[in-house]
Amino acid sequence: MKQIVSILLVAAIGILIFSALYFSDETLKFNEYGNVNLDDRVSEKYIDKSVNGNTEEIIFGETQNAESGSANMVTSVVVNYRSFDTLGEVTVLFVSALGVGLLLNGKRKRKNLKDAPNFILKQGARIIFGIMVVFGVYMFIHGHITPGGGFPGGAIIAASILLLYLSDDEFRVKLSAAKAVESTAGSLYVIVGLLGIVLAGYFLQNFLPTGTVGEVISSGVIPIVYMLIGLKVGSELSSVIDGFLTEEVEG
Amino acid sequence: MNTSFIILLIAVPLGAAFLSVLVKKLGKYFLGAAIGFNLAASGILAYDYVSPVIYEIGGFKPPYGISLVLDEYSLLGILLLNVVFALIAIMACKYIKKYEVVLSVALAALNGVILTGDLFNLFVFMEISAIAAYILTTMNKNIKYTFNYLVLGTLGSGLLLFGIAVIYNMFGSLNIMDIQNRMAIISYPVAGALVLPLALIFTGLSVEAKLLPFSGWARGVLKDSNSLVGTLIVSAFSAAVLLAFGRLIDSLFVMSDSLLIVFTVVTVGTLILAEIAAFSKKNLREILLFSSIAQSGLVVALFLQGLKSAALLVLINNVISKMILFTLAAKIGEDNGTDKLEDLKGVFLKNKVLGFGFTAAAMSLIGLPLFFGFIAKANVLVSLFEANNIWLPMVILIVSVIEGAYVVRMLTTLWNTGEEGELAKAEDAKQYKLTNKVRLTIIITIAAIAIVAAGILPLLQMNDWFNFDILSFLTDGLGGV
Repeated sequence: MKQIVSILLVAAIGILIFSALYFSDETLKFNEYGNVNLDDRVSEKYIDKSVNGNTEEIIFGETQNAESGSANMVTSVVVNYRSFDTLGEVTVLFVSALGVGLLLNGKRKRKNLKDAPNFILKQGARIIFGIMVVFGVYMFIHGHITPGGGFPGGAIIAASILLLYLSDDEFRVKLSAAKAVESTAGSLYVIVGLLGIVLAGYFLQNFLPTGTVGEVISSGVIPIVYMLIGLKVGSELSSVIDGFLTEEVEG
Repeated sequence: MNTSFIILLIAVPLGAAFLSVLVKKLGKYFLGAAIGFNLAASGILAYDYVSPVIYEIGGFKPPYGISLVLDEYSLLGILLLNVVFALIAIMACKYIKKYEVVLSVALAALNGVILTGDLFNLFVFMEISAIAAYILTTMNKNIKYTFNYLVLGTLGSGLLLFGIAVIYNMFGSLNIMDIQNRMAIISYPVAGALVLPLALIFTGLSVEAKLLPFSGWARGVLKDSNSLVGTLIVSAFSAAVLLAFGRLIDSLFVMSDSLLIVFTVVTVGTLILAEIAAFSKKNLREILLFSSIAQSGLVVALFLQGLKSAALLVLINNVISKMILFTLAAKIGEDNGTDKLEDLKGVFLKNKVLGFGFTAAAMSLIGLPLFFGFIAKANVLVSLFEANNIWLPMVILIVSVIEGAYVVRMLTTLWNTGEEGELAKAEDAKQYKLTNKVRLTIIITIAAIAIVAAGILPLLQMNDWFNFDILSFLTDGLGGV
């Protein structure tokens, strides 16, 4: 009975939300996917890189010293125009990982795996581990040119660590090292922001030349910030993985 | 004025949090430094304040970049927040161990919640402060309630984010002022289209603001909490969330009449039901937590009526008196192993100074003359009458009677050992403890004196303290009371 009432309630709320979004009589409606008029939205200026008044067209591999040097528009928004939100999101992950650490603290040892891993699995996983780490690093170094960036790059690195955990029942990350990387990367992100105040005037303002759109060494502080995010996310998720795959030692 | 202090209020505690993971031993010094810096910085900002400042993060002009807004409203908010946060941290410093980093992050996030002028950024800071609050409540050692809080809180943030997404889809901007301007230039009534996003945002914020029926987490989390966690949640967190709520209501809530009625019923219902619940409770912390829920309802109801300064006065009164009351209630509970009223008869006879502090805060809470609460309540009633509102003052007065009844019952029990009519003797209260702490006594005494002083001193004489007219901003509409 309870389940039926819940299902009906959810369905009613769903219909209510859907009808409010798509069938309201007002002229001002929820824009359907793909039908947004870009001219009167802030995102248009992010695409044209024209927040500070630039009128020139942005051409890949040619435009120099654009206000945001990243060829990847999403990266422009995430690490340049709205970098402060990203600092916040990094903090969300930081404080969540911290919570896991606080709850699962104390002396811990590895949980036993259901099937003991054999030699071939262990060695094979190590080879794949190396490739994955390189791919993760590639991901966050190229975040301003290609799809990707610090968050997915960090997640890939953490996934490679997870692979080692699953293929080797004795493997553990050095937690103190993970904490050190996490803390250094987080502090450096704030310091990059503070350098913005000192060198350019505002917190998190870009203070390096933005170079040519599309080159690896370009777009000012974006690659630096994305590297820091990648290292931070990778080390944080690794210590969370360690928390979940270990158990407390009695005594 | 150096506007960089605005961003440093957030950046410094955040940096301190990141650094304290690296050097764990120095964690408490980093936290202390961050709290001290924030106190100083908010003081400097208040001292130098001339007119509203918009700080453009990243150097991108609004609405394109994220901006922080320092106006009278947020200035008052950060002053209140940073002072209250510092006092709570000093009074409850023995609980801080291991939680320094979380507290630093919470301090940064709460300042962000008050200062931000951007909807999505508000969501991010609400999220950070909520996660910090979940972690802090694990100190209660009752994971079930923390988990309950986590689930409700996450659902609330989800709804808030959904509401913000709908608003962004409709107006193409996240900057609160910009959205307000875009709403103003639309030639037809915008209220009808806004019903869904406003309802979502209202519900999402209601979870953290403890409005009924979304405050199911509050009782479990707060009833056994210590003087750090509980006091932070009922005063500092509550202040920041309500201030953000007030800012959104003030700037974005273009409501149709029926939506306004729904919101008003929720808030006024919270006020009435929570006061009745507080009346029926027998434990100190439970009484106070329900009173806190009721006050949140009143504050949001006043914001909905457009009475910003009245709402702010009630908010300030509630935050400061709850800080004193909850700290002492948690301390009494911890010293005696229970905070059941009937087991604590005459506990204040053992420590009259703390007892007087508690009494002053309680009197202010119910709004007796000579206390700051009276100014707040008088302002509320006068401004409601000026707005030709008759029914809300009636509700508030009736609820005040309930509030008065349980506060007086609480005070008589805590001061009196014997039966009614008998003279109370200190010997009878021997079995109870209320250990004296110099720090606690000093802070409670000063806060109590401040409440009384703010209730007695003619408010306007204190205007010279700041360059801007903070008090006349507050008493605007008070009609010379």
